[in-house]
Amino acid sequence: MTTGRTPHQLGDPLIRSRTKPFPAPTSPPTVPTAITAISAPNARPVPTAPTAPNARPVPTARTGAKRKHPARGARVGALLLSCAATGGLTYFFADANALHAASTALAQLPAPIAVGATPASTPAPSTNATAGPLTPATSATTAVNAAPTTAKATTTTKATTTTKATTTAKATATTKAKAFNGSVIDTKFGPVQIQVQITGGKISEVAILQYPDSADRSVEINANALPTLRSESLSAQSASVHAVSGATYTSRGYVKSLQSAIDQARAAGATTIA
Amino acid sequence: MTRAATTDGLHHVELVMGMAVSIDIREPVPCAAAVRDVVAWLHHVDETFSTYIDCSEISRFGRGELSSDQLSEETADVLRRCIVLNEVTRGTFDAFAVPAPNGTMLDPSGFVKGWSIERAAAMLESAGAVNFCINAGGDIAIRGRPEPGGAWRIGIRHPDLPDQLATVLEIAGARAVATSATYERGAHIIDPRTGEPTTAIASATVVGPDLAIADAFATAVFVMGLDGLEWIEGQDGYEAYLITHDNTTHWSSGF
Repeated sequence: MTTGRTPHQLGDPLIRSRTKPFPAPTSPPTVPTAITAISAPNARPVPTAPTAPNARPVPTARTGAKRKHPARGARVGALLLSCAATGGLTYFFADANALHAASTALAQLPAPIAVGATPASTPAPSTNATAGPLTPATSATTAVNAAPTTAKATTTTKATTTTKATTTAKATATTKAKAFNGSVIDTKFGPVQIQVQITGGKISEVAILQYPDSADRSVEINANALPTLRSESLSAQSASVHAVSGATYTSRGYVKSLQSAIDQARAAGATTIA
Repeated sequence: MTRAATTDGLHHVELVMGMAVSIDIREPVPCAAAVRDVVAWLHHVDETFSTYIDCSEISRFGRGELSSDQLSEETADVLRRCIVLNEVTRGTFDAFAVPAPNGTMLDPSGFVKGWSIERAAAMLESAGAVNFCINAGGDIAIRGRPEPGGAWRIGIRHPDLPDQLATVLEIAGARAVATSATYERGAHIIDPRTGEPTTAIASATVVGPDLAIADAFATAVFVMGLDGLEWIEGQDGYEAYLITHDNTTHWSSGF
């Protein structure tokens, strides 16, 4: 069994030209198969479950004799756990009839997202009939400084937006530049705020609205750090992204997130940013 | 929250389920009504499944105020799928043995989010949308392409640096990307096998065809740590990308 590739250190360039394409959605995914296989014994009248073309207890095959019957042993274990965990669940899972009732009810659902059936039941439109390849980008670490607006206590935000917008207006006769102010981010050197301008869907300008200058040491560091910040942001165009995946951020965390910046730019007509 | 009809599609951000859901549709199809339906659906899911809302169905069931007979088909469906995923993930994803904000030990949130977004994607497809991306607080369902011939570029957040990306994945078609990590909300991911918070690795991203499953798998892989790499190899169609605390990245073989 292959267990992946050589680890990379973040920050090293991940030269990863595309590898093999992702399997087409027609191959039965393991989990869906498992789900149909497991729900079948309980949900007798579930019509879709047994018809899964390649129904096979894939996950259990790997775990050996211990799990000959996926619908049984492990489920019972899970149920016991559940019962122990929550009083209310006792009713649900200890009562076979109730479980069965729930299962039959499931069968009558008008084709929900159907954990297993999605690839088969919703053939992709012609424009994207095959799932495309999945390739990590060639650059491992991409600095993106387009921090979002809606900051806490950014009193300068609005005013600066308008002034910057006017300065670039002349440069872009046909395409209008739109400015996005980042939140004031507290760095270890002090507060930093950046403004990004989008012209024709691309970052056209990055301005530093605020940077720390209180301590001498900070200034010294900033002299190097901030220009880097700026150029990294500009060069990040080659790695512009459409969305950012990460740990679930709260509504509050969203305000500071890269995704927030992407959304603001997108709402303004940009097709990519970052 | 915000909605904008851009020249080449429609973009909407909705604050729901305690997070921001960004919907980015890339073709000029009249799908504003579908987006409204999706928003209504997400709020419905929140009211039903939120473990932060005391009177949600899941909270009432968790406290034993509802019997299984009184459960909606929808909720029963979700709980059954969680049971299956518990088995598939060898107990590392467990909706029934992790402390929930409402004080019960029933919290299917790690599945519900992906499940509801996957259904939202189906709603948009029914309305004729072909190329779109839904990002629900960092978990993403994509369809089609951002532009003809292009691929969606999905950045994976750097665990230590909020404004940087660890890598970028290029994906097209019907795919899902889910990431589990603790940098946003602290050590909140519990290993159901021990009942203790787990911080074995910094970040776990799972890519696959279904966001409901990818969401649960990301949690499972996060709990498994590096062992999750080998485990995911047995899950057809799903791949994992892990970042350990020393900022080393690990890829499953399908990437």
